[in-house]
Amino acid sequence: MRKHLLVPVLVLAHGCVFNDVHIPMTIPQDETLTGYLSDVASRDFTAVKIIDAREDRTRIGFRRNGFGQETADILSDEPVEIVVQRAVETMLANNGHKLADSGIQVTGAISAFWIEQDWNYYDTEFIARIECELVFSIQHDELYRNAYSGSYNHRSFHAVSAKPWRIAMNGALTSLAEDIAYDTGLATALSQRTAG
Amino acid sequence: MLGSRRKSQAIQGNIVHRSSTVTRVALVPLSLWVLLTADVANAAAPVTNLYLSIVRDGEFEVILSRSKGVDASVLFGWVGITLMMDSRHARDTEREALVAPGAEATVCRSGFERALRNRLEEKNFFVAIEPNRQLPVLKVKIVACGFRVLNRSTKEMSAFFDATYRLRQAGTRQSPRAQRLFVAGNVLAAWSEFEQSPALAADEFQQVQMRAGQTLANKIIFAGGN
Repeated sequence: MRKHLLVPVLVLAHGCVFNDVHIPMTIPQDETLTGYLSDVASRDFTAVKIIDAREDRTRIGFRRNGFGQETADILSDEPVEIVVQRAVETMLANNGHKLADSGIQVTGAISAFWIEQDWNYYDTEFIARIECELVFSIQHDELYRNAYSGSYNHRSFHAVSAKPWRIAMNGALTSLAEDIAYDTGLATALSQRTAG
Repeated sequence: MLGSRRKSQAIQGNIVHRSSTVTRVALVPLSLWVLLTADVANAAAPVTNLYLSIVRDGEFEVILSRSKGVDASVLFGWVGITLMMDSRHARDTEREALVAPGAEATVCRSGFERALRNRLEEKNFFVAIEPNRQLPVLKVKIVACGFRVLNRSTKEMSAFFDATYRLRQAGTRQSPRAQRLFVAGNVLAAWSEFEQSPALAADEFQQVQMRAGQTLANKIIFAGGN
């Protein structure tokens, strides 16, 4: 009798994922985010300003059942521009730079902030990807501009709680911050120009 | 300056090569002697050695949807999985040929390893020829590379590189937990766009390998080396 229930239970389990998932995101505290920006003498930066320039700003992913169907939304607890802004400011601080009332202005636009779910035989992959362009300026005079991206692939044996989504998204956020910290072009631009 | 650096490299290469015949007591003072005789101009950039071990080369894949295989397992049992996998693998080979003509182009390792070694050596990290317990060991396992769907709603794909790595510190036997290295390409497009432009696909694939190699090298450089 129990064997006859197995397939219906599995089918129901794959189909019963209709609840939206809310994900709080932040860079884990044990991530150093140190890169070539730490070789640059300490500079003052004003608060980072990011806009969400995505086409679909209502969600950051879809929850899917085992058949690949969209059953619910994956949502960020905070606006994605706040999440990325905080990540960039944390990265600057970890590389020895300071937030101040005046200094280098950092503005940017997010073009991608998405997490996808892919079911395998024994586990599920959660693949997160973030893309944004940042512009660094001194008194509205553009100093440097570049496109940055962060991505992460997390494998989990379950997709029931928000944890695997959170791990993947935090990993992508860390990867994005590292991409900025590792940018030798940015480090060179900051070294060559003095603050206004 | 460059000649002195190469001499130091050659000296250090000989030390690593002969490590089996040199006692541990002699190795430490010899290493110190090499460091002390390094070119003065390089003294500000510490010389760091490590041993690189890529234990798995990974497979080139074009992943449109793995979930179809799972559907088969739920409804039709494990035979269904085998059939779906064979079908998917056959189709992957066709797509591989479309975007990556030539054997070199479907190899996950070459571009990644080249970028990794180049960035390490630019920053004075020298990769030893043979393993040595006095050196940190960077062990990399390439899981897969190729193209995969990153948004199943829009069917957009990008190039990708997926690996795990561990950096074991010198003189320890304890292996740290594996870290994930996943790099997705900058271009997100439908598969038909990559099919119609093999040059775009090949360029994206090379770029993602290079970024993966440079990213891992940067992580090692800023992790402190040995």
